[in-house]
Amino acid sequence: MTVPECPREQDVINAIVTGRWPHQCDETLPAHAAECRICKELVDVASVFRLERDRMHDEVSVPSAGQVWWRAAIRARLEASQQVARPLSWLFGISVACAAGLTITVVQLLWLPVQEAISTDTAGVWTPSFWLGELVRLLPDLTNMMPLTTTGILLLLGVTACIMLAPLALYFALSDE
Amino acid sequence: MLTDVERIGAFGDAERTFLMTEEAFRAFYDVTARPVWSYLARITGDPRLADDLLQEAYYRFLRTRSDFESDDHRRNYLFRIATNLVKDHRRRLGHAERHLADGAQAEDVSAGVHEGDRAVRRLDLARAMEQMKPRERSLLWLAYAQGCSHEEIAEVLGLRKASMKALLFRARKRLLRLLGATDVQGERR
Repeated sequence: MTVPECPREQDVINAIVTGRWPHQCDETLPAHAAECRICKELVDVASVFRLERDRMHDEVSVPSAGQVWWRAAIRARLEASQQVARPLSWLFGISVACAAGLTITVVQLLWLPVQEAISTDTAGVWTPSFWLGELVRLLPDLTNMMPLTTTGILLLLGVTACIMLAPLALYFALSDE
Repeated sequence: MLTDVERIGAFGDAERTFLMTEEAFRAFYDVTARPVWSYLARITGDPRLADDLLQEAYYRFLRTRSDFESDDHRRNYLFRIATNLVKDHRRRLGHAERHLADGAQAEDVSAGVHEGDRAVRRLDLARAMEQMKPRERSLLWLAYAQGCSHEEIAEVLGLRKASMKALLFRARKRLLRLLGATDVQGERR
């Protein structure tokens, strides 16, 4: 498709858009537009657009720059805090899962002595010393179940503690204000 | 939600978060807010939506990490954000473009038009624009209300510069047909 064009098109448009048309622009321009079919058409279209633009600019009431800045600042802050909270939520989830796993394991290990205690109904079963004794008795079983050395157990306990405390530490580290 | 203290803190953080100072933003906003709002209102046909999109456009602009070569480049970037927001909004709503046949609709457009004075001409323009494709509206507004060059329009709309002349020519012809139809109808009445 061949588009008819005139080299002075943009000059005509610029003169109209900037409000220099027809008296404050190059004086040959209106004379040219009167003769040139393309520029004449552009004058018609651009003049209507300019009227409409000016009317809209006069009538519109946009919020102040300060208001827009303020809203943007608050939203940026909100998004930043949500971004920080995301890994924290993950860590929290993981640590809850670890804690649940540990609890289930301990309950499983202690379940047998509890059953025995209930069935025999011996006196002094519900004292703390009984439970401590049972734990000490089970500790070798624990190490047998998980082929770990004492260092290994300590390491495992350390990692678990880190996982559980990490969200808390992160929270204090990142909430600087 | 943020507490009041956090809100106050946010204000202090803003200059670190955004690449612009508040003062520079105010200057830029004062020059561009009305043109951007007019552009949004004209291409969406909905002033309320234009209010919302204006805030969103400036937010996205402030969050950008781009370096701008000039004020024109910065302004064009803002118009590009505004254009993309309108496109996204349309996509979300699943609006089919209201591209109506020239003939029958042009007659509807003319209803109530009496005299060919300036006010009527403006009304005609508003109604004719409503019948055009969103891209045509953007093209015409950027070219004839904002005075953007073909390169600038191509940058804002994400189109090839080579196709700009033909697209603009077709859009202008279509607009003139719609405006012409309303004039003819007006004279008949």
